[in-house]
Amino acid sequence: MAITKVWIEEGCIVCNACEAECPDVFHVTEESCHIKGDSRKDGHENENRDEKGELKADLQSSLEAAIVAAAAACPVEVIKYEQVASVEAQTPAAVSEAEPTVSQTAPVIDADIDHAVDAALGTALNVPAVPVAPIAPLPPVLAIVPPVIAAKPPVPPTALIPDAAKPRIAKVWIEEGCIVCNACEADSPEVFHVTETTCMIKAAVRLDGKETENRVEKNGLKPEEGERLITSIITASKGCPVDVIKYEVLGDAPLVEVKPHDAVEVAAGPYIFDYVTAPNRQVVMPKTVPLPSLHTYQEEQKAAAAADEAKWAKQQADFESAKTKAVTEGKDAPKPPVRALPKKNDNDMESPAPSEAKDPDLLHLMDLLDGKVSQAFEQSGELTLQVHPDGLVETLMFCKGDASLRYEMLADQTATHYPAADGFAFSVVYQLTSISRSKRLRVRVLVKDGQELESAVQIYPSANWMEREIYDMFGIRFNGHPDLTRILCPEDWEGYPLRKEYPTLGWGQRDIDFREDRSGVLMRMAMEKAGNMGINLKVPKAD
Amino acid sequence: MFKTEEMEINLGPQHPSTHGVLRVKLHLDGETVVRCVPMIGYLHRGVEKICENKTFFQGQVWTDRTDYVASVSNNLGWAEGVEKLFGITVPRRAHYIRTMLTELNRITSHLLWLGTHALDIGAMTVFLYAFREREEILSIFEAFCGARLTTTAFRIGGLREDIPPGFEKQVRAFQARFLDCIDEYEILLTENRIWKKRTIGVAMLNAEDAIALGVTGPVLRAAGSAYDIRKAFPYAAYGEMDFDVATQPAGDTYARYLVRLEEMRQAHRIVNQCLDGLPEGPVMAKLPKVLKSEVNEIYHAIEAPKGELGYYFIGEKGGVNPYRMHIRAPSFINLQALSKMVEGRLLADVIAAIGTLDVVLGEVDR
Amino acid sequence: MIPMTPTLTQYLVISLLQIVVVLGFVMTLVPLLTFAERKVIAYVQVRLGATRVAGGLWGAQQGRTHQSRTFTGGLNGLMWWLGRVPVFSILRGLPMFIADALKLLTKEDIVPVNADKAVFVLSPALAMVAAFTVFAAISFAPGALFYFPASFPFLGGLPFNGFLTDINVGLLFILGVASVGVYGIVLGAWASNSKYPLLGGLRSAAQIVSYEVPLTLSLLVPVVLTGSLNFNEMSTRMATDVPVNGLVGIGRSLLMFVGFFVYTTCGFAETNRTPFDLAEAENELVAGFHTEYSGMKFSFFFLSEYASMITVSALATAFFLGGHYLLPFGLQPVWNHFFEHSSNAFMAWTCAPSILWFLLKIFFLLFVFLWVRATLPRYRYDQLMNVGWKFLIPYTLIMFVIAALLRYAA
Repeated sequence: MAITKVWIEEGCIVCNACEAECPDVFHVTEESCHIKGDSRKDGHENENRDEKGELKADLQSSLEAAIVAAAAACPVEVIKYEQVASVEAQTPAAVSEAEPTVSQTAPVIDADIDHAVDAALGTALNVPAVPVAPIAPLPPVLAIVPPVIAAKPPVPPTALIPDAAKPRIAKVWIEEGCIVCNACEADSPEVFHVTETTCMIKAAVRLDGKETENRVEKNGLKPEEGERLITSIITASKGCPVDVIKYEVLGDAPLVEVKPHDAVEVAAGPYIFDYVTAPNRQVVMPKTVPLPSLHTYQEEQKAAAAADEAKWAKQQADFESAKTKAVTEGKDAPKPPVRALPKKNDNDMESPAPSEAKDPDLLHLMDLLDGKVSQAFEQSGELTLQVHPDGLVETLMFCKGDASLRYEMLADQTATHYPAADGFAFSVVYQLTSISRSKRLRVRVLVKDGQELESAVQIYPSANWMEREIYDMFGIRFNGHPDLTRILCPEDWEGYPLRKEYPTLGWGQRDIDFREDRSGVLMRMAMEKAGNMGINLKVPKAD
Repeated sequence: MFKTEEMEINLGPQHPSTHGVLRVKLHLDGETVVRCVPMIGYLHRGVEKICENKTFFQGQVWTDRTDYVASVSNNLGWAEGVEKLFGITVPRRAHYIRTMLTELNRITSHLLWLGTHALDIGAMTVFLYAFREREEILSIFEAFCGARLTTTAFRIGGLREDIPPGFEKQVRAFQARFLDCIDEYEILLTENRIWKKRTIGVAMLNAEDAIALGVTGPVLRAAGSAYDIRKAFPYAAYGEMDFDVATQPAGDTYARYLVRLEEMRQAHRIVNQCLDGLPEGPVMAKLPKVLKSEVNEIYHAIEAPKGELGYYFIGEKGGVNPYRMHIRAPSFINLQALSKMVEGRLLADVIAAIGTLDVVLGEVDR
Repeated sequence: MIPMTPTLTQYLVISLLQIVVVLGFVMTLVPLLTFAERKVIAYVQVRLGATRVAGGLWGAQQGRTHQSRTFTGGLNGLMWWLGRVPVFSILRGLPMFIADALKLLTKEDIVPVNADKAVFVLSPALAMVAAFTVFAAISFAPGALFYFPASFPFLGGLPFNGFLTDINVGLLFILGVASVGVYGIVLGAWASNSKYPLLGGLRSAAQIVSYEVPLTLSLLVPVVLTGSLNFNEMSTRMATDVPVNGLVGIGRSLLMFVGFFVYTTCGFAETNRTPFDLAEAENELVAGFHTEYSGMKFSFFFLSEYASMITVSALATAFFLGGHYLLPFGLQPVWNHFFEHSSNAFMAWTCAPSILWFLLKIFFLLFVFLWVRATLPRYRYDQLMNVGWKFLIPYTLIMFVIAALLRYAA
């Protein structure tokens, strides 16, 4: 029954509460709270944050009550202590907050693990916890069972556990300091949900059905979920770059091989922002391929009509069966079903649908380019001709040169990224204008990622800058372009900004309101966070 | 003998006459331009990427900031493009008011061009005269939508508000004296010998080259091609308006000057017609609360003061954002012609050529 | 009164006093010219600053209630009544001028790292010195401005002249010294070690070299006609030499008339003013030869340009516009013929030389400088050269020949 160590974690608000409770141990200064040198073995007076120097032996038991009271009184709960052989005295919450790293690094004796686990669960109180005196450091009461240890078979099942033989995660929570990196969601999407600002434990797996960080309440997981997801949660915890995912295990944790999180080196020179791997700059990728197309539209219409038919048939069948049933039972016949009319549109809005190509230009081009045309249709009064990449130059030459077409001007050329598409990645469109005939035509080509397209500069010189822009923004290369360099972005820009995977939040984006940051804590956190991400936010000093 | 070498000089991005942050790398032999490479991107903000992550309503705000001297035209292009994407029918009164404001905006844009172009060539006074009238139109915009420069004047489906009381009087007061103002500019410039010497035969671009390079707007019309989207593909209320397309055969800086002056007169005519024939009725179409697009792909071009301003939209099924938005910026395409216009000519002609192309760097870089 | 011959000491003292007065006059006139430029251009261009700033200074116009106390106040009241912003005041815009001067005086003086420091510092001084030395030979008043009263200590009875020196070859001196000014520009441009100033300096050198020729040739027309290079003598002979042949007289006036415009054109080019301000063409060369200059060094160039404007106007006045006499282009003899012995004292006075006419003509020409600046665009470099070599030089040569013939006829 003694407190061996006491230390102050980061985040002290210098409130003096602890000094009021236990003046022998705590000394609150202007900036921080110290553990007094008088009370410590090493005699230093500081926060004792890293060293966790021990208290003097004579004080260990005498001041216990006062220290516990001070820790309880701390409004931000940064006072932590190690208590030995005092299992009853501690609440589970206090236990769980005790430092886990000690136990992870210390050589652990199997028997003690057992006791520790028992203590943590509060189920084996009858077994006295015996500290092994000669071996230092003293194994503390464990909050978290390190998963990578050879432990004995699990301890007594309780009624909560459906299958006593199987280990499970009892609780999981996220400590302060999450950098919303999405790593945990990738490892264990059923448990974690990473938002813009924080990481949540999903409601579906929790006993209380809330979706929070579970930081304070530490509510338990549903037993069956805890059992099912044990591997993935441990993986996520190990994979967390800032180690804020904590959990409690019931039983013997499985051995999970996790590749340790790579410590990202802080760039020494000017900032380097790798937008692809930057953990908190992930973007939501589109799931659909909105490529306007007559085929797709017709298929959808057909499917919708078929579904409608099927529904109607089912309604009728239901009605028939209900009718016969009613007749046999002698009740009133039910009302016959009424086929639902299409919804009436009372807006001034009529979504344009694609229709078959009727325009003579399209028909003419389809004749000329036999086999090269994938499809041709009209929508919103605009003509679209989709051709195979091989036939592109031929198409453009026909469009410009053919006496009945005469599309003299390439008004616009641009591309679109379809990451969700099969078989192609980009569509490149050419908006052709015939000045003499007041007509417009859109030629569309589908391109794979990395596939080179023939340049249109020889046919339409105006394509020069537009193709440079497409190259700059999408990374599509054009064969035969006179000067295919970046045009809007700097020459050394990395990535292609208009691709869908390119993030909209970038380096320098403020996600911390620095106006509120009077003490500079947030700024320091941001620097640290950026450092973890491989960004050097520190302004290089002038020579 | 003597060794000569070309001097490489950077015109811009900080230079009084590059109208923003245009940088032109010039190789000079004495004062003769041997090679001219426009370098752009100093004002690149990624408007297209931003608009892909904004709803159709929010994106319009960004169009104000592309060609910031012709924001009403940009708003019109955006609004009509989105309306085409959704298949919205806009009330006739809204079309008329839109047309009127867009034409007033054409006047402001051309006035700003006239002032700065004349200033580049050394005639200082026109600049201040032109800005005097431009102020009045900006006040008209302010009366209509509360903003002078970044207007966001229109809404998808029509207008947010009808014209305010007293608006018509204000516009008519401006209309009454504007033609005299154009005459005033003409007195200063049109028959001025130095002005003619500086502009006639300078920065030539014939119609074939212009069309091949995609050059549109007054620059193309001054080369003799009467391509005006207001006539070729009528939009808004232009189909009902009576106006002429100003063209000149010469294809030089002076011709562009005359074309733009004539366009101001025609814009004046159109504004008068809009005021006279303003129909009664609602100004906003009936729309659902949330606009969700179907899969569609449209390219809608309007005749902005600088040329063909096209908006390319791709709609996603049920999407509230455009899946892809692309601006066909007239300044960007027209600037391609700069090298062709000035190579082999003098340094002072580069300035005249940049001025006569009427580029706005906010639109070039987007 | 018999003019006394001053002793050497007296001569030195009087010369010193005259230098102070003339330099003081020019040094006051030059900044005032910038103020005038601001005001004139503001009125021409409907600018809002220089016609409105601080119109209420010294209680001249305190709004509607105090309008009619002064003359300008009355005019402004009229403008209020007409619904216009009152802008008639000499004081409006004055703070801008003061701020401008303070700005130039207090601005950081930057010397570029790679500049040739000594030349960079010297060249504005060179331009300034050349521009101001010219005034030594310009005669503002025909003879003595006044005589010191006899009771005046040490200088009693001595004349105080309206000129510093009355040298025979005044014109040659002026042309010679004024040409030194271009070295200031070219050296300053070269010493800046920057591309835009270099282009500006080259343009300036070429321009001044080409325009010196027609300028001098056009000045030779009155020189040949009168046979003198001296300022005072020139205007006196122009006013008193009645040509025997009336036809010669008319020819002389016409030639002077044409010569005046040719001279003024060259003068605009010599002073780098619009439409020939290519050397500092802001829209092409950023600021031309003085791109790298700031603070007082820049204002030295600035002031020397304005001083040479005054020089050019003074030369035009003396050689073409009749100098100290009322009428220009050698028309004064006709006037004199009718009014010299008039009983009307005022009319008789108009026949006599006076500093007033000289200054009025200078001011008018300076106004023309500003007026042209607000009106005309700028020539292109090659066009400027064309105008100089292909038009002005042949014209002036022809005029020179005609002048010689007229002289012979007379």
